[in-house]
Amino acid sequence: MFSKHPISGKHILWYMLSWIVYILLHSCFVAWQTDTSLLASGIISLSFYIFVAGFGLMLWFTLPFLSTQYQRLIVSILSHTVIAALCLYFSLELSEMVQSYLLPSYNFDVQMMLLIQPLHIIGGSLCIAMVIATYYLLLFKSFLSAEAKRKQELEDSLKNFELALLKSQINPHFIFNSLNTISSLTISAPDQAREMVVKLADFFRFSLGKNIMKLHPLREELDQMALYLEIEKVRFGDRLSFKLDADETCLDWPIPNMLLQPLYENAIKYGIYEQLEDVHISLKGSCNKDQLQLTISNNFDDSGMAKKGNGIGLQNVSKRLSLIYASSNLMAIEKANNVFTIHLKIPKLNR
Amino acid sequence: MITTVLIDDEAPARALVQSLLEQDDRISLIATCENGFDGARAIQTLRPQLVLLDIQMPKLNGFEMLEIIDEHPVLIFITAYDQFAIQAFEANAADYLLKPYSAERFKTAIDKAIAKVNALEPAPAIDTVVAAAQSGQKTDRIVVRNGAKIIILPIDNISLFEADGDYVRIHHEGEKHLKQITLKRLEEKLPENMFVRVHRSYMLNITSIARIEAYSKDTYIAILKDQSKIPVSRTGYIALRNVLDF
Repeated sequence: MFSKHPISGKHILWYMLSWIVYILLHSCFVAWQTDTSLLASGIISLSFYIFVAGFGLMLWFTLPFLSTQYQRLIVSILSHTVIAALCLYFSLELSEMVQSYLLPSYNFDVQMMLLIQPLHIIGGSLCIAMVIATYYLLLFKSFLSAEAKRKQELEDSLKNFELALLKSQINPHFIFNSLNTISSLTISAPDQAREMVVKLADFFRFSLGKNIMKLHPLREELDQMALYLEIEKVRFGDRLSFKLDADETCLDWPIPNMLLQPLYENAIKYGIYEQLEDVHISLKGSCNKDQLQLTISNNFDDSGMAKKGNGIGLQNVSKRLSLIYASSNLMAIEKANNVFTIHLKIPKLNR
Repeated sequence: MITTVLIDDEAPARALVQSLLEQDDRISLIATCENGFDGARAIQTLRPQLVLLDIQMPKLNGFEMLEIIDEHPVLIFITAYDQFAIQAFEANAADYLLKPYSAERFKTAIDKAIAKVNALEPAPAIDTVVAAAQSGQKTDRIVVRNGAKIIILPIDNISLFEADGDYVRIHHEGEKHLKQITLKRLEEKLPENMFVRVHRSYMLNITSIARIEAYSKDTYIAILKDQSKIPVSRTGYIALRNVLDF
């Protein structure tokens, strides 16, 4: 943020122009108030303000050390004042040296000195204060635009993530096979077909268009998963059974929307499609005052299966948890004795 | 009447096909199977003229089932969603049905299949159908048949593929299995950088190699962890160097 001097390139011209205008006005004022010639008062003003202008440019480089970013407010104000006073002092000293060199024979009268000295001190202080204020305004402006850009980037990345997640969540097989099941039921059992359409509609109403960063009570998540599993059960019949068993006290615990969906999809993929046996998926939930623990397990057949990494679906769940709770290791996977288990830890979010 | 076998793992999907077939007196449904294992057995023993086949099924998918049967029935694929396969179906299968489908669409598929059965030209060889349908897709297991037994071999544990005429001998955890396939076709199916074709007749799992020794000026020998020795040709040696990065 402090890297590049804001007064560079064509800004230098503007900086110089403002100083010239100021010095001109100042000289006119001095010439009018005293009986000095315009040239002499011009040289006197210029010899002072040219140093103020120079110090003003250099002040930028002191800001990183003085700003409230690293200092307490009072220390920051005091150090800015000290620096400004130093600039003023050196400008006065230097301007006197220049004046005695340029106007050696000039006779400064007392009345004029009495006017010029305080005028330079007050004018110089105000100018330095203006320069510092300008720097902070510019910094603030660049900070605001950087902040807006960062926010935009964050939103974009979140959107992409959301899209990727939705894509992985609603498996096309699920949609088309469910529709095919309905097609079949319309012939054999129209009542069941109607029921299935309603379930499917409820499921999509709930899952589409939800903000994945939002939380909802565990109760709602479990209702939603029951809906999903009931739809799948119509397709797979007795091959699929499930149990959702969470402590009554935990049902209001806030958890991310549709967090469990990819886990169930994974369980069905491996439980139904990678073995001939029936699959049973069970969920257990318990909580203490700090965290909710969810355990989802299903039987699977590990013979004839390659030792592959965990699927995109599981990775997404883990990624989402770490994004929301800013903590890794909230998901653990266990495979033992043909049982696949996922342990989730859901902390309480301080919002 | 055309003898037909239906293979689909979902009961409602089977019920739908059955009810549609009941209305068609050209078709005689002689078996209905819930998975690929039963399907393969039914096809081998009943030799149907037409097979209606789901792709996504437990343990043994539709393509894997086709790989292990010797019969060449006319095929109608029925699937919910399969981007890769659709083009291939168009080229090689009698027809394909995307779930859900209408009764008219189903009838069109059956009409096409009956025309194919009645045409005396032989159905396209199963392996070309399967190869086309799976082009571009990598597998992580190989299915072989030993008599009536169907065995699924995860590729991690396969150390060596050895060409033997029209067959490939697969070395898996000390046992050998024969499968009717070419090494070239296997090379396409297997994930890259896991197996290396070291010789015209040999393809090695890189994790099974213990060491490589020079044999003559231009040839080498790979010694596997089970001490067997496999010849490595000059081009095979270059391929090994590329994959193993030495």
